[in-house]
Amino acid sequence: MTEVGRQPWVVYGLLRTADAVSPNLVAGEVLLSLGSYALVYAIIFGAGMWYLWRLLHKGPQPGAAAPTPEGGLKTPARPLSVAGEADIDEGARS
Amino acid sequence: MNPADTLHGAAYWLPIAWFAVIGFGVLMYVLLDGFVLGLGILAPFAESEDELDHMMNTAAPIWDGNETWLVLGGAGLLAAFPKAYATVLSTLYLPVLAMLLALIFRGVAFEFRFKGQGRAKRAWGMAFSLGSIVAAFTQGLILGTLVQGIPPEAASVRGSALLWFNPFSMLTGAALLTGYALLGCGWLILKTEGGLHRMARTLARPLVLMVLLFMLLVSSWLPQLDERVMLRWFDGWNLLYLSPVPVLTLLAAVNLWRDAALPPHGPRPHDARPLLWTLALFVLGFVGLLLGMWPFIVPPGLTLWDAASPPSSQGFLLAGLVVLLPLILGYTAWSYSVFRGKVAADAGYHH
Repeated sequence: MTEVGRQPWVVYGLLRTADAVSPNLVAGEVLLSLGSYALVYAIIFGAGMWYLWRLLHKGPQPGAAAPTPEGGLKTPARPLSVAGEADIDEGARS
Repeated sequence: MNPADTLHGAAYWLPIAWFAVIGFGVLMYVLLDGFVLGLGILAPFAESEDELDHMMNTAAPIWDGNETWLVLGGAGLLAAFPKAYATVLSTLYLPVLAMLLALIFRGVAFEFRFKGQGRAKRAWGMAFSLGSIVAAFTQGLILGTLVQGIPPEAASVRGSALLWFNPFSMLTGAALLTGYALLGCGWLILKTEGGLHRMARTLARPLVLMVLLFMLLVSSWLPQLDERVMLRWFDGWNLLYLSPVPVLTLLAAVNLWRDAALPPHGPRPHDARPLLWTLALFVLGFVGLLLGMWPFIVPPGLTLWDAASPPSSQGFLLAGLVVLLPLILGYTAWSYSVFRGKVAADAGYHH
């Protein structure tokens, strides 16, 4: 939306989109890059959704041992950190 | 003509300061991400999925911080040398695209490989390996095309997108691939024991020979391609003044060869040495290439001062950098020191 509303400027009031285009690039190259980004994002995002779905489907495991306090504190507090059987296995083992 | 004759004060010094900052950023990226990409290049030598897990776990806690330097180099180039950014990125559009896509797969593999099992796990292992190989080769390709020179008019000629497709750039691509593999070897020697350590020790010496051969080829071919580089090194007494670079390179090479394999008798050299000597080779190679380029940021037409943004922009940005750079260096050093020492095969660092 911001990109469309800004047209025909790329830097509003200063630089027109037509003047900012790389003169050496042909349409095919730009199409190739746009297409490959779309494809790669679809693969990566699709895989991420799949792993999230699998985790949700599995649900919380009542019998699983909690991470040890030390391991728990050292585990980085990032969204993906809570995911994965590997963490639980690790906690159970140590 | 010496730009010092026409430019004074900030307009003369700021571009030099920024050139140093960007050069430092690129060098840090090459050194730090180099060994992680090296792990991906060496991945086909892993004997099992567990061994590949072990290889990746040695780098898992620190690899993503390394990308900071790539971002600093790219953003710094855009802000401080917009003309160089426009020329380099639009003529090298396709290799840069390939490098970024490869880096996406390499990076995501660190997360997803530990979530998948069986075939999926192998597929993410493959993504890690191929991503690293393609990223390393394209980085060499970009470097080779840049040091050879990008004619100033190339950026405005339609269809100049295949400028990088030439024998010298292919050579530098292969050279960087081999160099990163050697960095990866040095890293594994430092960080592992047992089977992986032995594998890295076995591969180290053949890789040293290949890297030295590539360095010799590049440094004898580049002056033939560009008269300016030839004059820089061989005009008058220049070779004498610049001799510390080749002499130190030779010294590092001899030491690297000695410390790469375990001696049959006698005391065992410290496991950090192969990595440190390889890092020294990279620094010297980088300095050698920069000496050939100076004072051009994009040879053969664009000097630092031609490509620079106005002193007000460069000065403003430098003020922010003076605060940020020590912070980045500080947290980088800290994270490497937290995760120092050998990484055991089963000590997983799971995201």
